[in-house]
Amino acid sequence: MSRLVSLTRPISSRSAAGTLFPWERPYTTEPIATLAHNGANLFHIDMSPAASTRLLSPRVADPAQPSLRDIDPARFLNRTADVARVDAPVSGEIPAAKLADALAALPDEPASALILTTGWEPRPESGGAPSFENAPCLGTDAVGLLCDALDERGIDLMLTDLPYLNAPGATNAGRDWLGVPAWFRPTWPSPNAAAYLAHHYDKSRALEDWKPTVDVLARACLVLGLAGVDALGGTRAVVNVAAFQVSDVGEAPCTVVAGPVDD
Amino acid sequence: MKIHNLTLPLYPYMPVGNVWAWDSPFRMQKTMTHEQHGIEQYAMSFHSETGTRLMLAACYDDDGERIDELDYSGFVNRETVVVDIPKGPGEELLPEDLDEALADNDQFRDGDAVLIRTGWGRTGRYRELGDDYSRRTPHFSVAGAERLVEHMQAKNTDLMLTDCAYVGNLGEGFMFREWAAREPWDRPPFPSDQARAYMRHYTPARGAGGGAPDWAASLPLHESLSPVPALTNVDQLLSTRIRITVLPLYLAGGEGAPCTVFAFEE
Repeated sequence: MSRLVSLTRPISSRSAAGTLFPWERPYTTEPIATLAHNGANLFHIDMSPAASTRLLSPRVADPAQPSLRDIDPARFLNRTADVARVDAPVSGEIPAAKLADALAALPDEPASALILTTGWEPRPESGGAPSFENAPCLGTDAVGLLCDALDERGIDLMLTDLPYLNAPGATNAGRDWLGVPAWFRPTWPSPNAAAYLAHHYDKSRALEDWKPTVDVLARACLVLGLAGVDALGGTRAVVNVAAFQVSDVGEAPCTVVAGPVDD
Repeated sequence: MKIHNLTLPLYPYMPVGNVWAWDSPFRMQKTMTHEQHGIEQYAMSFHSETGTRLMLAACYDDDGERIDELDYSGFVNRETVVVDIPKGPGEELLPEDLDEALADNDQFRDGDAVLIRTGWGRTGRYRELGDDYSRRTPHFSVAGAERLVEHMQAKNTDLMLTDCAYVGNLGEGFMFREWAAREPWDRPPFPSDQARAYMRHYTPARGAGGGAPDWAASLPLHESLSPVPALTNVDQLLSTRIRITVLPLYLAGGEGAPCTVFAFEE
């Protein structure tokens, strides 16, 4: 049995994952039972999918699409994936030419899943928050290139270590929300977040922000926020993606493990 | 190849995680909606043993491995034997049941995960019964749990899956009559003041922490195995031998976690 590697970001209250945008609920826990008092460890959890490595489907933007639980699990299990390694900057937009180089290096005989890695990791010394805000991302040209590659190669599952596809700070929500210190923009379920989403973030502005993600989702299910991708060797891997089984949603936290091809 | 999803769906107040005083039921709140934003996002709350779940020794032992410390090689595409031990509401799995199912079973091979099917977890039953799906589930007797451990250790294996919603004694001494047997509006779940107060008084002397008589059968299963209870759709499995993939929500430091289970059947 080959050893598998986890490509999943550990869900932790010390992580800044899921703490940026007003619709995100940071991961927090509270003990319910403790070994010292109750003889067992059990705890309460609050979170949103953004606090984790997460799987998105077209349902995120289209309620007529099947929920994650209703998609054939064969799409997520034992999938052979090509690994495209992008020479990405520490932060900011990945030049489209560098993405093109990474895609051009893929094998001619394509696998129908793709892992796009940049090697990005949040900087632990800063708690990660500024890193998530400024993580590498794809600009308009790069998203167009990526969509073309998904079409040409018949890819229906794409995974990446990018936490968001486009730059958080360049979005409508980013400009409105991220421009002030974190203590002035408490995330969900704060009154600030609720008021912003109820009255100041309408459909046209939201869809403009989400367009790159929706464009990719029109072609493939998408896993954002992989971690530990340096452990991936070679140009191909077999991946398993198991979504948290929330009913009737298009996005959920997921756990991703990978192993070598020809196990 | 047929792939079966054996995981209970998570929906508000689904029964597994909505009955005991330590349960914090699965709840969700939309933060963005298709109607208003064109995009759907949500927040959710639940607890570490909601629904189908991977339970670890760390629940009872601070030195046990945590969710993010496991080697998942043994949890993906794992060879598994399916054994039938039919049980009705509230019935116990006894040592003789485990002997009959496993002792001379030539389908049970060294290193196999074991899926114990009582029939309780048939398709859709959780919605039919609501909270009684948890309160009346078949479960292990203490001696039955110990006998299962013996059989599995003899085959060098430690991954056990079952369609029992809970594996322990269902709070027989204290928590069932004091909490779970009450109407839902009389037992508001954590983080209610009532649940917090109950948990302050629920100590090992009163059955907590695997103490007899509330949950004693749970202890040997946690100490020696990795139990995965609350499977559903088990009636759809037609083969005695399958492969199983079990991947939990990847909680840093988690002493257990809800998990997703798929079965592969040729």
